Amino acid sequence: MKCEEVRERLLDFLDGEVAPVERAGIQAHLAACPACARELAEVRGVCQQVGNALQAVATAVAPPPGAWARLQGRLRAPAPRLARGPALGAALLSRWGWRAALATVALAFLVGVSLSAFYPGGLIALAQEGVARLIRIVRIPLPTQVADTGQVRIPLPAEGQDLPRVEDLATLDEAEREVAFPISVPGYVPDGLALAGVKVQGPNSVRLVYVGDRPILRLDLVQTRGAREPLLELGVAEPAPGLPIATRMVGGTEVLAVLNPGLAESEGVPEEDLPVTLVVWERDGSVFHMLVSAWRPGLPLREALKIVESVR
Amino acid sequence: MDLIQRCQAGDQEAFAALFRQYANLVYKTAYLLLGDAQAAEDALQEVFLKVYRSLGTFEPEKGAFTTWLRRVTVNYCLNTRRRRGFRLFSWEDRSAQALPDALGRAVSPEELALDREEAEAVWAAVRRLSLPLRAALVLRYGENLSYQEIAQVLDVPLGTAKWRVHQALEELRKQLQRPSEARVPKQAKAEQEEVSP
Repeated sequence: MKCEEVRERLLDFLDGEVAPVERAGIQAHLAACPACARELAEVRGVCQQVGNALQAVATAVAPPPGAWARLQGRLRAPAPRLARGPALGAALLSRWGWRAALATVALAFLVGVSLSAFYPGGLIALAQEGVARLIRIVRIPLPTQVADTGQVRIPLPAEGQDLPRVEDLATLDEAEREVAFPISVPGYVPDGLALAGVKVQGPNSVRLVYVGDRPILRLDLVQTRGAREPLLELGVAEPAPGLPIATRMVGGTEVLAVLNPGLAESEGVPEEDLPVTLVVWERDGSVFHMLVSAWRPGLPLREALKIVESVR
Repeated sequence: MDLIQRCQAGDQEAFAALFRQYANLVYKTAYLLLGDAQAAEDALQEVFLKVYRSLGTFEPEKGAFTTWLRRVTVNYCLNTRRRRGFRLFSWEDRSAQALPDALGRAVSPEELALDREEAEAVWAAVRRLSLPLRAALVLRYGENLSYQEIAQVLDVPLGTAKWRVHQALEELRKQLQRPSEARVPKQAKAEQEEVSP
């Protein structure tokens, strides 16, 4: 057999899918041809690497614990009725009334306008730049009081502030029974944060409240019905006291960054090289929070500032 | 009456048992195809909703339940990627960028860095494959299915299933750029002199 013929059949040879006569021919060729023998070793090596990597990943992952509870909630909900074309609009109008339909259209318009206004270049451009986890957070005055439970430090709502108290929150399961849509939770939140509970704000909206010790004390996320994933998140984030905060001017705007020196390998690291946990900046009356630790732990301040500049 | 038949008859407890028995299979397959914990969880939910609503169409005489379930899972993953080329504003698990943290704990610290580096490179290369090729590769090497089973899951001819696996491996070889012996795994090196599989 020629080298070319043998190499075309190497995978089948490894899979044991060649006839005995052909197998003998391939083996004879491989015994006499070091180049093809090396090729066989390389193919076998790739198969082995792929098998090891895929099986290691498969072994390391498992469904989240609340998966069945979520599914149960959805099974109880009536199956969606699919309609097409004008029938869909008519169904919506008859079911919700024209006011609700108009409000929905207006809300969609407002969300669209606000998102495109906040992200020049459009959402797709933003995502392609790799800043897909940027979160817009509407400015809410940070609480001034903090309750220390011994385990977690929970910011208390300031006077007149419409923030739910942690003790008033429902569990995820309880909340899912109260609303008519599946509640999504982030796949990952910054270190130290845990879901304290859910505030049901109405049949179409929930607020997920996360509390922690450090570096962030509390983070609220709002999910509304209709979004497969929370597209617009509203909340408040407060860094733990004691962490260094760096301020920089980027394009005429003050940027505040919460640093986390604990992630750095040694002391004496320049501030620009210190890992960032949270970056906050203001524009057009809104505050932008970028939870760096949620997507790239250890990202140094100088890199985080480049991202801030790129999305202005 | 077996579990599937009880589910088809509307037995809710049987469906819960079915979920417990097969959630792992669906989640792991989806994770390997989509490379992302949040997307895999979404797939788990959607696939079992689909199973709940269309289990009546499953015909045992035409093939195993696991084959049907894998087909539903793979089809969901193929379609969801077509619908959503990328994700916006999602707090994905860090494993979207890298291997799950749990990986590597089983090996010694000395080997961890090297093994993890190699596994990361392979995993990243797998994620760059087109989804049809990745699906064939995952079923072959992640789930150890035969070519015949892969063809049934993907609903393609046997030759197509084999071609996809081979093509995926070929692309991986190019991506991993392994021309030198230095990157051949130890076991493969030791076997280099041997010519039989």
